[in-house]
Amino acid sequence: MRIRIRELEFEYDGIPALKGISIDINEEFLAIVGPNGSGKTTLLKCMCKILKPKRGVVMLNGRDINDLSQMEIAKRIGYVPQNVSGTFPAKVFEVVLTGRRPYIGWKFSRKDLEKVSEVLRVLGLEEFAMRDFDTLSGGQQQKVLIARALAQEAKILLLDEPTANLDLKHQLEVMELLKSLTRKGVTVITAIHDLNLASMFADRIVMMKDGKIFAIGTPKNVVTSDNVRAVYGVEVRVLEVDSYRVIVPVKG
Amino acid sequence: MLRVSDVVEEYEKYSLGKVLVILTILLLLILAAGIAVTLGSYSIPFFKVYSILIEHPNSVEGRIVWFLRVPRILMAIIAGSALACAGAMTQGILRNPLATPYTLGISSAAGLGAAIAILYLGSYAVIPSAFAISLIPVFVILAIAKMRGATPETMILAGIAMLYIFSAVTTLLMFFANPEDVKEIYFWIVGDLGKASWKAILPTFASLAVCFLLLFWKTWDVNVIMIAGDETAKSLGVNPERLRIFVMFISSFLTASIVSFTGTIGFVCLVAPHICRMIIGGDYRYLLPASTLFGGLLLLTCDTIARTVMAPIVLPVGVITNCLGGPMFLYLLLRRRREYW
Repeated sequence: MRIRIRELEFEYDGIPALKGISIDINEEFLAIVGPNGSGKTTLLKCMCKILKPKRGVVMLNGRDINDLSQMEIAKRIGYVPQNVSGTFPAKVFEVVLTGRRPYIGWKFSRKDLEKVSEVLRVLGLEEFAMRDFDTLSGGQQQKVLIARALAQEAKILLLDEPTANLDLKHQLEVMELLKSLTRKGVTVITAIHDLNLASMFADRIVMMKDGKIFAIGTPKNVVTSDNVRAVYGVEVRVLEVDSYRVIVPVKG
Repeated sequence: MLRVSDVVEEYEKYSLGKVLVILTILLLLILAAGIAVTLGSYSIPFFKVYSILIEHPNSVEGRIVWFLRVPRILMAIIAGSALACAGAMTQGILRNPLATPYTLGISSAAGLGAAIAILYLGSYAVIPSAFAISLIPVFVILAIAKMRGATPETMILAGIAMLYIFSAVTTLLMFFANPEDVKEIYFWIVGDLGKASWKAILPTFASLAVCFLLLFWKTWDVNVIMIAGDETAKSLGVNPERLRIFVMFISSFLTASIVSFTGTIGFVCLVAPHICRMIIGGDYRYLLPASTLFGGLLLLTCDTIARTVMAPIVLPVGVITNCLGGPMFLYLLLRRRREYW
């Protein structure tokens, strides 16, 4: 699945949040980085019609998403929100089952239940199936939310800070999982704060600043000390460890 | 290591458990109705009541059973079921444990409508007047729901504001009314099944049946909204605004159609869904039928107590629902350690 975004603009009550975004995304692992308020989340939400852009188009395999119903989009694009605590208690199985909504009107079949269990098994969550979602750890909850998007059988996954609030092990686990999905032909687009994780896993990185794309390209080309200084206003040194790029802030 | 089919089986077993709970409530409801029909201030022997139910004799006892007890029992079941059904859905769609037709001002608006009719129009106009006025908060809340950026909280606060406004106007009217009318209005505000008759059964039951089916059809979408929240629900293909307007309209209409016959019976719409949620969890495909049946059982039980506890005096059922329901609910909330909402 290909996404083409042209001249996308969005404002919240007159305050511009996206200013003329254009990107072509193919089957790849794309990381969107940038400071708080640079428009990462807004861009993700415009890509699946949660928000309606003021101007510009989002094309999905050549079709304007405004011509697609919300249900048709749901079969193609899965959205994984930032994990917020204090959600309504439900069993893990029930949370993942809501991912089947685009396919079933009211009564689900055994096939839907099997799809849910299969996704849970792939993510190693089967033993939690009947646990309450809010009793799980942050890393497990994040996996459950990804499981829901997988149950949706979407070819494109949009993720909003999937590694926020996770410990190092779970951060790597979630990123590995996303990487393995791209190998199965899923397009993964994730907003992420951690530049090191982004450089390590993403095929390409989009660096945003003030609602615009500041830089786009391979991690090597985008994550440079010049770009980080211009976008974040922070002095950093970029090191290379085992062919990964690592960013270290410089004191003073 | 669990296999795929094991997880599916575990979920199906869990769902079967919920179905059994629903059937148990249904059984209890039938049992309660069977007992309630034999109780009353005019004592009729147990087996005599059942022979009356079969033979329809035109005796005093026959008329007591057929024209007083049976319609009253049916009305209690219908009203309790309808209020609990509407309460469960409004709590879900507004994602708030306190959102019920009562807190949204619908019941107090119906109270004002009834008071106007009792004071100025005559008792024949009570039901149409109560129904007409109770539609005002329905439309105000729907108008708010259509406004851009209206959150569920806005709707609840608007409802509470209207609750106060309608109660204040009713109080003002009662202040200048004669004592007889005040008593009648008061009975109405507390909620009473004393005016139940066969004529009221058909329209209320029809309203309950149609609204229940319409709401039941949307339970899966309500699940998605409750579990995923508005934004993610959109990405799953559900339109939260449209769903909210639909569910609010149907549940408000259902409430209005019931309270215009019975007065504002409080608490059932709040308590019944919560008790059921504690037992079978928040999946609305099971919670809605369970709450609906349980509401009927709860109100029938309260009304039977209201009829018998101080016989021959018959208390308004609203007093019992509040006196019994309140402490019972509090007890359940305190006993329950884990968060269930």
